Amino acid sequence: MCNNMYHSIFCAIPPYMLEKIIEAGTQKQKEKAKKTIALAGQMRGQRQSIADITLKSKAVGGDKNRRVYSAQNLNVLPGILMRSEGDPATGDKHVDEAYDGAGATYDLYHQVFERNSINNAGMEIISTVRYLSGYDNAFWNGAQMVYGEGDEDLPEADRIFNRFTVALDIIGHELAHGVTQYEANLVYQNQSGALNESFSDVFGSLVKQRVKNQTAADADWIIGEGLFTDNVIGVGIRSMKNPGTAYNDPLIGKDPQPGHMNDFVVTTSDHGGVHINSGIPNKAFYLAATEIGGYAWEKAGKIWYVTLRDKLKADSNFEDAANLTYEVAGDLYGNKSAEQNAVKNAWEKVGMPIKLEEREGCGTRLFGR
Amino acid sequence: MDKPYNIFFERTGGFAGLPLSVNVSSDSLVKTDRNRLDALMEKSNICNYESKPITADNFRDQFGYQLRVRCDTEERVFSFTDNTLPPDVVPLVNYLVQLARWQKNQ
Repeated sequence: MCNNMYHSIFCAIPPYMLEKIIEAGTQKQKEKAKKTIALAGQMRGQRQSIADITLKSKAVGGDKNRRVYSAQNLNVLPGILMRSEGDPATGDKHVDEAYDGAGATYDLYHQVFERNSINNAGMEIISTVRYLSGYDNAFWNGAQMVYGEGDEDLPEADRIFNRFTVALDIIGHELAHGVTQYEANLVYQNQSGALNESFSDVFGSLVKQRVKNQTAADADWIIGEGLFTDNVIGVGIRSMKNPGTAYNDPLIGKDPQPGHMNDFVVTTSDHGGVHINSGIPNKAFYLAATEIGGYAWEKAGKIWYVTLRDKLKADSNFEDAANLTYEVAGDLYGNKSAEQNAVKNAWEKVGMPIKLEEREGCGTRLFGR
Repeated sequence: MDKPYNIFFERTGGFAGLPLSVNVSSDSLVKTDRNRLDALMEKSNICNYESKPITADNFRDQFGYQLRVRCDTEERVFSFTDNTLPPDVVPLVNYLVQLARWQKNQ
């Protein structure tokens, strides 16, 4: 995959970003780069963090209110405003995908779950595209979503990632981190962190399925479809249907996700494997949704959403998620209903059976609660 | 930087959760690459930063970066995230990311 034009390790051109921008950028870019570096000297000699310089999204009541900015390949957030609510398409794929994706995500929460934006109080939905240069990632920073361009700075033969706005479920995933922050606020470590990741995949997938008008049986349950370039052997980043099968490529390796507790990965890396062990609750959701049938956002999605909103705590683990989704399914659709049974079966199949204590005259009660 | 030195670099996390790492020995690089790395190391001033553990924040899916380098007589480990990565260290990290990808390609 190396381009012959480049010598030695420079076969993949490193994006030196700030220093290079100062050397060769336009006057406007140079000024911005210098400003970014100057920030390093602030805050008692320490770098002012991105979070500190992020303009906090306004928590206001009202309708859908989106703003999409461009970081113009720097790391200053939110950047330059490119599109506001109601503005026509810009023709810039990064901007328009971020705008449309945020809209589809808002609509799922609003129209299906009766939630008003990220904080349920009409918060502006802020997105920034073109973050840094060659940045292979998207993230939620506590106040807004941020998307990198992927490997657009590299020769096509060397590219692994496309732009991170390319897949609607990535946008839904990042925005869901905001919803989780305002609800259970699951600690981003070990099992609670993997649940945090899983809820983002679940709602990201539901946004995609709803836009495509797909039933649970029709959906592909792939997260990040289209993010890899054709240079990678893979269908996406994760498979909720078959965790561990999304990619298997000589360069990036094999998808490490387990789909059963027997294969739970114990690691200190990535906050205790939050992007790995999320495969287990992901599969539980897929199994519950397909057994219930129909559109996954209508019943399974509702069960998972209410559990996140009303039941889970910051330190909840997989067992809590299993027991509480079961409890919520009973609350919403009745004890021993088909929906509750589907939830029970799903968690059992991933090695996390529901633990119930039958108490005569008191209905069912969860252990330890 | 006259003496040979080693750098271990690891990037973890991110939306995709794909880890990336590289172990670089400066004396294994050709002259132009060695000079480039020397310049980025000096510009980064890495040894003047504190070796602090990563603390919890509201960032989700950001990258975590770890660099292990010899500073004077002792080996030190520096941990950063996208939120805490100093601007002067960004070019070094980008170079190491590309180096890690290039080595994987070989």
